[in-house]
Amino acid sequence: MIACILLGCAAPPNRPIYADTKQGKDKTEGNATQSANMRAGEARRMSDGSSKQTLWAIAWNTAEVEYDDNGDFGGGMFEVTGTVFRQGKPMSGFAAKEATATYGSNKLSIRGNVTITVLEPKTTLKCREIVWNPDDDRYEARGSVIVDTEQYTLGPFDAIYASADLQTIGTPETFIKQP
Amino acid sequence: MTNPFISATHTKAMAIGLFALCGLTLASFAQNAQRVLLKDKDSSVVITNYTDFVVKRLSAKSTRVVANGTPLIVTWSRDGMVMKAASFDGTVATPEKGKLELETAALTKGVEVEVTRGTDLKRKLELDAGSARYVAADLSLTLQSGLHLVSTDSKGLQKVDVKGSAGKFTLYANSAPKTARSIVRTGSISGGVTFVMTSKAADGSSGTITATCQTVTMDDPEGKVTLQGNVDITGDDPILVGDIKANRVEILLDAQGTPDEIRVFGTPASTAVGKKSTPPGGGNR
Repeated sequence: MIACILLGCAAPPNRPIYADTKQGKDKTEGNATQSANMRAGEARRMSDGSSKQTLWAIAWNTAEVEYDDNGDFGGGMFEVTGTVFRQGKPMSGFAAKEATATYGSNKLSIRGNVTITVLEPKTTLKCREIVWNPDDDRYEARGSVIVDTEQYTLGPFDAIYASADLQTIGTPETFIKQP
Repeated sequence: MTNPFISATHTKAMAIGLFALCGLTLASFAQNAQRVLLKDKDSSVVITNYTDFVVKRLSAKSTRVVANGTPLIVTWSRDGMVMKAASFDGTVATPEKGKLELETAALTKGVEVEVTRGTDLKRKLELDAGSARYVAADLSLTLQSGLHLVSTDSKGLQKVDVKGSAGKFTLYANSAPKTARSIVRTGSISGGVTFVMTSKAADGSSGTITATCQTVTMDDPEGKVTLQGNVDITGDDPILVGDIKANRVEILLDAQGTPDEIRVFGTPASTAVGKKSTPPGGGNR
């Protein structure tokens, strides 16, 4: 089960909820959901099972989200920054114009002037949009993707996959096939 | 009734359209060929024309690149080297206080390696093979599965064309000594070798040595090319006065790389004439 911690200043919802309900679980069964327009909040998606490791954490300037009593949530977040994790350890940071969490999914979609940053060894990935897919332990980046290190630049590419720490980059099929 | 004016106009329009289409196609092809996979800060190492790839950081200083292309093109400016192949598996690394370097390269399918050196006299080495491996640490190139080597220079002083099944070479560094006659410092080619050396002497005369043998070894510091195993030489180089059949033949080169002396060893040794006398302890000329 997905667990999420939402922290923020809730305001009365005055706009439609942004959550993607098509791919998410049926929220009419089980827990009742609440929706909110939020300012300057943050959330953390946790893994299933007993370990409850952090999959990703996000902070936003504004957000339109809905969430339930189990801590699952979905919706749009704007002017975002955050961190993705592997086995509970922080791997890379991100910043972008907006992000969308899908209700019932671990994926986080990030769009608009996306920058992914790793401090050691210093590596930066820039693109138009990227999905952090913790279940497959990879970023899925699209649109003018450029990876910059202190030694060299990779790209621009139309679409690539990358590991959470940006240490492995590849075209999607080759990335999946790699030993 | 055909109106010749309209017909001519249509033909012209079609030609312009076709020309424009060709131009667009060529532009698209050129743009596709420019697909950059990796480029370092001063464009010393550039990898382009990929179809798919994986790049993996092995450490803060070293990165492995596995890529395919049609063909993939690896340009390594410091060593004046361009490599082309369908597949590439290599590493790039940054030495201490240094810039990015091509460290190793394993190339397969349709391998072409071109090395260009020199300023006043530009030398070019072109190698084709089925597979190749380059190691920057010792500037070694090992080629297999059908090898073709062509060595030329910008003044047409010397051309060496060698075909065989496999070969191994050690190249001079880009800052080769002035006495170097070739890009290849040492090398050997084996397996059904055909060897053609065309030289132009200082007096303008030129000649060709054509040979077949089992193995050719090149030793530039020694100024010597050695042909071994069922050696059969023909040609019109001034150093030759007839065909040669022998087990082993050494061609000694002058400072410019022109054949200066020929030594024939083993049996049968049918013919050999050189400009100079055989040094003491030489073979059975």
